Amino acid sequence: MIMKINLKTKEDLDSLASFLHVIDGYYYKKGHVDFDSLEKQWGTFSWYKEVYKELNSIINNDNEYKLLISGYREGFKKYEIIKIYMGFRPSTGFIDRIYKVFSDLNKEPFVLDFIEDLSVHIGAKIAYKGLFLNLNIKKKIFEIVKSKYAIK
Amino acid sequence: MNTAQIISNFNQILYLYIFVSVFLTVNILIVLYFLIKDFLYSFTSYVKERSLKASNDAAYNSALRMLDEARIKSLRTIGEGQAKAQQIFSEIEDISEERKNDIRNRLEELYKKQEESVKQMNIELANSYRKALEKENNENIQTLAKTAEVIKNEVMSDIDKFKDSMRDRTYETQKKIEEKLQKSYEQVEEEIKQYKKDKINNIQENIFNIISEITEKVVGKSISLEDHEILIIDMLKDEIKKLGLSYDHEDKPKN
Repeated sequence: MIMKINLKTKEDLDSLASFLHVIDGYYYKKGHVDFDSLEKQWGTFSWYKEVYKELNSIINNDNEYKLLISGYREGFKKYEIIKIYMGFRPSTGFIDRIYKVFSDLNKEPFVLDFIEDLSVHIGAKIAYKGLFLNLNIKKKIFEIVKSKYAIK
Repeated sequence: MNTAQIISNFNQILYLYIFVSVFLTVNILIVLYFLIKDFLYSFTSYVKERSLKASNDAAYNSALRMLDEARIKSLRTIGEGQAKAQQIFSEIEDISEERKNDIRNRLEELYKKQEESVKQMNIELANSYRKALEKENNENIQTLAKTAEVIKNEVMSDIDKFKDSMRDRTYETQKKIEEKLQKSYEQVEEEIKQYKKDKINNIQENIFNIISEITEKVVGKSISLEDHEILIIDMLKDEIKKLGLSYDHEDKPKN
């Protein structure tokens, strides 16, 4: 099941889709899958071990293979994409923490789509379920200064 | 007796004669002055009295004429009433001729009595008027003064009432104007207050904007990537909290 696979970013999702396409090429053209060479190219992705495990267990069963691949592809459509605009590339730790914050809010599967936007100096802008969250440091500072120094 | 003595005696007699003549002339002139003055005074008084009498007579005659006219009018009214009554009676066929004559006689009698009564009333009124006129001659000035005083008092009373009324109205108007002014003043005060508040808010917003911008630039230059990431996570959590989205704030791993 694709839902059990660790997919956190849209990059993960896209890479898995590409991987499945490549697997299909091996499977139908060459009749076998060379996992060793695939591992060199895709092994760094977080989803690889899970997917390899599942594929390897059913690779000799044509029906199960087709079922698994189509299950993955159908599963992709269920993912919600949360767009995050930032002025820098996120670290793995940051991705994990952001992912955790949203996984507490979401029961449905989702992936984070990090988009580099240099106009966002400090902070981030997030498009989530029709909401636009402007995590602007200037706005935050403004609120702090206003709450402390505003004449009422 | 010599010539010189004769001349001296003659001179003495002449001086005496002149002195007596002058004395007598002066006395005669004084007497004449008082006589003329007295005569003029008496003549003026007489003329005045005549004039007043003529005036009184004219007033008396005028009053008599008016009373006479009133009497004539009264008699005419009674006569007309009698004629009308006679006409009505003659039109009524049911009454016998004897009865009609009786009524006519009674009306005639009533008419005569009425005429007699009016005449008597005229005489009494004339006498009263004459007495009143005579009395008025003496008390005229006093009465006039009293009347003037009464009129003055009445007029003054009216003026006072008018003044009071005007004062009341003026007071009411003044009160209304004051109330209106007070309202306008309060409104203006409120507008000024609001204007000041808006202005202060605007100024504050501008100041806070500047502070925020400067801080952002300063922070932007000094903040590390790690701090930046923590900042974003914190801001995201705050935003979620503000929006009221369900969120477990503890950084606990999801089951």
